[in-house]
Amino acid sequence: MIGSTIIGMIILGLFQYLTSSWWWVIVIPFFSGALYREGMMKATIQGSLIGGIVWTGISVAQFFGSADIVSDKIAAMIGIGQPFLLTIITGVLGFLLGAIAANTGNAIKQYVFPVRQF
Amino acid sequence: MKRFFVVLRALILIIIFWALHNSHGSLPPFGKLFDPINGFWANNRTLDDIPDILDVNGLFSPVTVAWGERQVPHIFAENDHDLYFAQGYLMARHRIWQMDFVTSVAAGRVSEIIGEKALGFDKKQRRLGLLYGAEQALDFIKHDEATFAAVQAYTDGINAWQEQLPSRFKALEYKVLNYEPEPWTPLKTSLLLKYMAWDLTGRNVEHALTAVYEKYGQEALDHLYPSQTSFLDPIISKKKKWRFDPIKFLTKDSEPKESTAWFQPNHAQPDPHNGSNNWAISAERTSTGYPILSNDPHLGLNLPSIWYELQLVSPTQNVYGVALPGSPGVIIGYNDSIAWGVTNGGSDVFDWYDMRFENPSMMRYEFDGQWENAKFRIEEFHVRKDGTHFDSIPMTRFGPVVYSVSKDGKTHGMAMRWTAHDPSNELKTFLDLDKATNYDDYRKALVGYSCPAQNFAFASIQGDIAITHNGKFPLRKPHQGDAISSGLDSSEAWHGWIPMDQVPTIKNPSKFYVSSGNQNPVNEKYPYYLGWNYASYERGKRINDLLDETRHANAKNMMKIQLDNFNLHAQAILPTMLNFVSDSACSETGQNMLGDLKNWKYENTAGSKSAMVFKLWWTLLSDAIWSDLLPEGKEGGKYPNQDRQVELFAEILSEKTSYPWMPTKDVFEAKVQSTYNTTIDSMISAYGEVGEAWAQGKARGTDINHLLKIKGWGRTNLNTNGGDMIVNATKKIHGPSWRMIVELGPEITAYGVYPGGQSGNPGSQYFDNMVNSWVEGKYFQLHKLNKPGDLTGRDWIGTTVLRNTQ
Repeated sequence: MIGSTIIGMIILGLFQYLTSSWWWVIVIPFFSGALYREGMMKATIQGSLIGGIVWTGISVAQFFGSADIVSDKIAAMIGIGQPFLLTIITGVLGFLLGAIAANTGNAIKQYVFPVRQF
Repeated sequence: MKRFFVVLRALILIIIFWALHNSHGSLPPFGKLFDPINGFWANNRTLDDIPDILDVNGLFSPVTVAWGERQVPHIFAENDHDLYFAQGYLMARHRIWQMDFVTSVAAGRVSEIIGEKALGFDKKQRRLGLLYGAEQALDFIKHDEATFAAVQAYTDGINAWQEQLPSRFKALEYKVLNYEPEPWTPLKTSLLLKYMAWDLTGRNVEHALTAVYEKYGQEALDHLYPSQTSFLDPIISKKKKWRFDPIKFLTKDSEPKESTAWFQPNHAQPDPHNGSNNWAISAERTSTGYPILSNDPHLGLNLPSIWYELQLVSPTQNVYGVALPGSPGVIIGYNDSIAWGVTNGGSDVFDWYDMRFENPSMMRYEFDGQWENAKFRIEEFHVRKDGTHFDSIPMTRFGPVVYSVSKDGKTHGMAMRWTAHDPSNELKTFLDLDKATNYDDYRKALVGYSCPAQNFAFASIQGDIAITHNGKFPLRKPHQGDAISSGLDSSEAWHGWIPMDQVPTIKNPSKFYVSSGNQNPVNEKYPYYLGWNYASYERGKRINDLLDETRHANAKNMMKIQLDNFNLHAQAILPTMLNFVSDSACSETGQNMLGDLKNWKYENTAGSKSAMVFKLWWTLLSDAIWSDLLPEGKEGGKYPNQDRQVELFAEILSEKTSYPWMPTKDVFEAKVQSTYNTTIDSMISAYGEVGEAWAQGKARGTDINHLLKIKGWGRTNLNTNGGDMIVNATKKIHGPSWRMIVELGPEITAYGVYPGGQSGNPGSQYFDNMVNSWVEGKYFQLHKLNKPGDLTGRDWIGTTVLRNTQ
């Protein structure tokens, strides 16, 4: 699971960077869930880790890097007091999106390719 | 059942995607926005980094850019094409969203961005003809090879930047509003200039004066709204002899006016405070032995700022100053030989004409006893999420019909005659000034400039100073066009134009300075009528008083004048007002405040409570006096101008005259007392008992909001000095948008500051980095270089070479 999660994280980061599209945080966990063989719960956790860690990690790096001023502005715009909360919101968003997408991917896979019980 | 849950999951995922991918009302698309790689996080300070090399498609030769400490680019090009190309490229780098948005506002395309709720605004913009005027101007500009080449190179530079920009780095506002940038076109540059023309000449109170005329007649108009007051110190000396034969034109009596009570304009009017100060002092009165020029244009204060500071160097020019994001060249600035600055002219170049149409189809209108066919301009609106809408605008010989009514079998339309609708090329003036070397070049550059009329102050290294009230002014009978004109015949049509060599101008006057503060440029000896609704006299007079005292002018004492807070208006009227306030009729707070007002030195400093109380008291008194007597609401400026009110109040107190539109002395006195009490009550209600909260800087302060008024993106509650009709014209959301002082000479020394920063990126350290200095009245030295390497030490933050990729 760890290996595939890391691979998923790398692919997500790479695809988001190369295509400038945010929705890879849904697509990559979706396929990771669909390809996962060890049950829905683990697939969901893996998806959530892929989305959550990548989004949290990069946003924290941005916040402590060069995004301090823009964080202040966005925090003021959406009415949250602490700009650092933006990293938490970003991380939670990545975590939830990854989880829901992986869960859905896994459910569809199980429905389309049901595991036969002997 | 299992199938149901699978489908449900898939549906939930799709709905989540849809919800996060799209904006909903004022909510941004949160998925896109919070993407840590491509969302708002990407609009961070790394965008401030200065690259050593930029490969660009479209240059003839390499361009070198030395960056000053405030990210001011000093652009060195080998030809003018590359110079304007690089200007467009670098301005887009810093300000592309602002440029795009402002021109969308001008073009009436805001509904493409925010949807149906802006459709009414867009339709009004089109009816006011900003797009029409921009198209007319662009067609005209195309006939001038040099100007159009500059616009095209500038456009290509902007688009080169946009094509290179990865979408993750598009401006933050695009991400918040969830729309995409589009390519720049020369029409957008033309639109920007029309936007400025509207901002500076679009304010119109003819409907209000017509209502006064309909209630009281012409005598009331003449009495309440004269073009001259006794206080006037005009821009062009009263002693000036006009040595030309004025054009004679035949006038016919106009038909009696029909009631235009139906006409209540509801479009957004430009800020009434738009104005500026400028002056130039000749070498005889400076400590440097060369002229000094100062300028501070007063405009609405926003972030990103309306100005962009830069230096442009090519074999044809070496000019430093500020430019308008969206237009090539420098608008206000200086080069090796001259300096110039502008203030708004204020002369009337916009009249409403009441047109009588045959029927509600508005196909034909009456003119000189005949029916004339209207042309129709079809405007298309691509409203976001709401398809395409259309508007069909009748175009008359006077201009577009902006408002119309059909009632009792009659159809009337209000047509707009505005000089900004005519073909013109204002940009040429500024591009020529950038390269001008002497007074003759200055005068030549002004020819052909149409709208918005400006007072162009000038100083040259040869020792000349001058000021010209310059623009395309219609020939009119005195007071023609003050109220709504009849469009039924040619009697109230414009009779031609004041020749450009007869516009008000003065060179090297005997008083050794020229100046303007948006007051009437001339007195009654000038043979043409220019309008009446100029700025009250105070700023112009105060500047002249201070310049009269100045013998050894230098940049330091020019700064002192630009930052002068003396309230001439209060000095003129407050003692009179205080005469009619009785201690016994005041609350305890009111009594205490009376003492403060009596001891006030008329300085509008941030810490002054009296300045705040006086301003509110004057506003309430003015309302109390005129709101019952004059028809229509306050918006539209029905009240006499401030200086005229002072004269009228003196007239009331003298009891020598009596008019139905004026209160009696008793009523006036009673209202002075009652409004004083109301002022104190209002202050207590808003700010509590007398204390620091009453001080102008706290109670009024200054807000510099983001253009979209997004909470937290502007700088608010700034503790500022100054005020309305004070030389330091800083107000709540309006004020000196650029302060510049230029000491000409073999070694030019110049200073400047504007309330913003070079970058338009809210995530940049250069977004608002000059605001604090501006509030504190500090200036930055402006470094005009001869070569890129001249910028060293702390003043230099990097050098970029733009290279052609092909």
